[in-house]
Order: sequence, then C-alpha cells, then structure tokens
Amino acid sequence: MADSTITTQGVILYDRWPGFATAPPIDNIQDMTSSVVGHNQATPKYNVGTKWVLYNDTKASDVGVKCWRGWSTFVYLKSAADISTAIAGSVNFFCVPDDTIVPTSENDALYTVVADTDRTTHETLGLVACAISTMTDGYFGWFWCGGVAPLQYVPGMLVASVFQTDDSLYSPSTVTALTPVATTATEIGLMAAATGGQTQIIGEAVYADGA
Amino acid sequence: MAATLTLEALILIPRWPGVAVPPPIPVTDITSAGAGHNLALAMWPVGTRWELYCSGDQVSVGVSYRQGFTDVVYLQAGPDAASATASVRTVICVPDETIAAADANDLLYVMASDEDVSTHENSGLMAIALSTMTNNYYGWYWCGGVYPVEYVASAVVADTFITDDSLVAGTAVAPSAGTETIDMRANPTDSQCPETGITLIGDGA
Repeated sequence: MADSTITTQGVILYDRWPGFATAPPIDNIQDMTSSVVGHNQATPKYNVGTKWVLYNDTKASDVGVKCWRGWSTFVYLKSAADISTAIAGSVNFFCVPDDTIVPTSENDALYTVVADTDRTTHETLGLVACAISTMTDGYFGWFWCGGVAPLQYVPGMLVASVFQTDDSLYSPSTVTALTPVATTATEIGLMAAATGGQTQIIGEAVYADGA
Repeated sequence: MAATLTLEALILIPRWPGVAVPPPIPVTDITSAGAGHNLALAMWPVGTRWELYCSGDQVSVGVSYRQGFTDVVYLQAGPDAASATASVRTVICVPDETIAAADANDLLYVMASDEDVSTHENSGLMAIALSTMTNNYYGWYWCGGVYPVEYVASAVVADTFITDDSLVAGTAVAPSAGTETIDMRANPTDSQCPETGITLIGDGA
C-alpha cells in the first residue's frame, strides 16, 4: 500500500482495550510521559491495562497552536523486549500486541506491545495504542488509545505531528472508519476500514490523509 | 425513501471521546437551564458526557418505555441550527461544515442537523438533539444507550427519528445523508463507516 500521513487532529480513536477508563487517582497531571505518573518505568506503577481519561483544554498557550479540546484515553502497557530495534516504539507510532499470542502465552502478553510489524502477527487487532514517547525495552508506560490526540499531556505530540496511513482515509459520506494495518515500512499505520467488515474499527478520520 | 421509527427501538453506541460519568448535580430534566441546556455560555466543557438511568416506569410519561442507561454529551449547536433543517428534538446531528487541520479547537463539538451544511453525515460522532436549539448555544444531546424519555421534559414514547426505510429488527445502523436531514440507515455490508447503534424493530411499519 502507498504510505501517507495524517496530522494529529485528523484522528479520533475508539478505545477497544478491556475495562473502563477512570479519572487518574493523582491530581494536576501535566505530562503523561513523566516518571511521576509511572511512565517508562522498569517496574509497573499500575496494573497493566489500567485506563485513565484526561480532558484537553488545549488553550493556545498550552501547545502553541489550536488543537482539539476533549477527552483522551490512555492505557498502561509494557513495551516489548525488542522495541528499540527496527521500528522503535516512539512518540506518534502505533503499537499492537507483540509476537503471536497463543493459549499458553504469558498472562501479560496481551499488554506487551510493539511498533514493528515484522515482530507481530496482530497488525490489524483492535487492541492498538499509540506510543507517547520513546520507550525503553521491557518498560511500562502510558499509550494513547481513545478520544482526541492528547497534545496537552504529551510534549512530543504536536498539531503538526503525523501518524502513518495508507492514503485511504476519509471521503465524505463513504469512508470514515479506521483500522490499523502494516505499512510498507513495517510500521503500524491507519487505513480505511476494509469492506466486508472483517477488521476492527478503532476510530475515525475527520479529514483526509495525504493532504 | 424516508421513513420513521420510534426512538424506543434505537439503542445508540457512543463514539464520542471519553467516558460517561454520573452527573455531579441532581438531574430530572436534562433540557433545563439548570443542567446547562441551550445556554449561550457553556456550563460544562464541550464533550462532557453524563450517564443517567431510565427507570422505564409509567410515572413520568404515562406509559412504559425502555429501562436502562442512557448517555448524553454536551455539544454546541451550529450557526445554522435554526435554518434549513432545524435542530429540534429527535433530529440526528453530526459535526458542522467540513473539519480541517488547524480548525478551532472546539469545532469537533459544533453540530449540524442539515446534511447541506456538513460533510460528516456518516461520522461516528453523531448525537440526537433533545430540544430545539438556539444557534450557537450549548446543550445536551443523546449519544448512547436507550432514549432518555424520562429526562427530557417534552419527550414522549411516540417520538420518532428519520430513517431510510431499510431497517429491520437487529440492524446495525449508521447516520447518513438523507433528504435535507441526516437519517439513520442500515450500515451497508461493505461499510467503511462506523456503526453507531442497533435497532430493535423495523422501520416504516
């Protein structure tokens, strides 16, 4: 497929991870990539799969330019052991469960994610989340999985930042839904939902990619 | 061909960002000023979502109706809400105009009920108006669960929404452009648009 990109405002994610997102148990969170909230830590500060919601006020003073107000959902996951090789798990890269999940996989395998499609067979899974910083191999941290792009809480995610796509996103009245897909660069990108409804819809585009 | 279906037959799947929470204030009428409905100044951040439980009792509206949770979202009526296809109770609304990169930060939450003024007729970000809205005013829209008859002063069980006469029991539905309005239709089998609900009975009966 032809690779393309879409800027952060163009994507609204539908959260598909198990469980219910709640308000964080700590006040005045400014940065979801800080160690204070347990991001990129060798020992998990929260249970994997924990989900938080935060509201982006997105005043111009917060991020320099306008971006969407509204809720973002984050999920606490573990970067795979080899996440820093090949396609690294870094900010604005989508990730899915690592390797190939089987009945005897480790009990946290569902939450161990990778950004490189050469290292997973789950590129089209609904359990997809976007890295919000560079992750250390085997470390735990927060990933964006629902709502608007969390620009207010992620220093490396900007209005002009882009996500990888296949140049198929958004056509008024015909195409709006998103599914994850392997790009030619072995990254996990976003594409228009396949016809026939056999892939998971994980969000929607509100304007076209490649513009 | 347009048809209608009673709103009791529609269960909405919320696609808006965030999660619905119990209201921080007692709510008996979600379309009252006390709840922040149809006001020039927003009482709550746009995108706020509340979850309410409908008892389904006959007490409030005279007849029984669906029991269960309903999900409402706080949005802004577009500048054209009162013109063309007016934003009145039970009309289907989607984001106004055409959203583009670097748009105003709340444009995602500004709604239109006229398919002539939106290019987002089949967006998952849809909601149903609960009263007539004044242009550019803020208020509550139904976006998930059962129709909130119990919490809308003027609502009745016989309220209907517009369909394209394609719905049967158990249909996955999505909004789409109708004749002037935005209607609800069966999600095509080859659909590349998000489903936003299911219908329990067929339309046009």
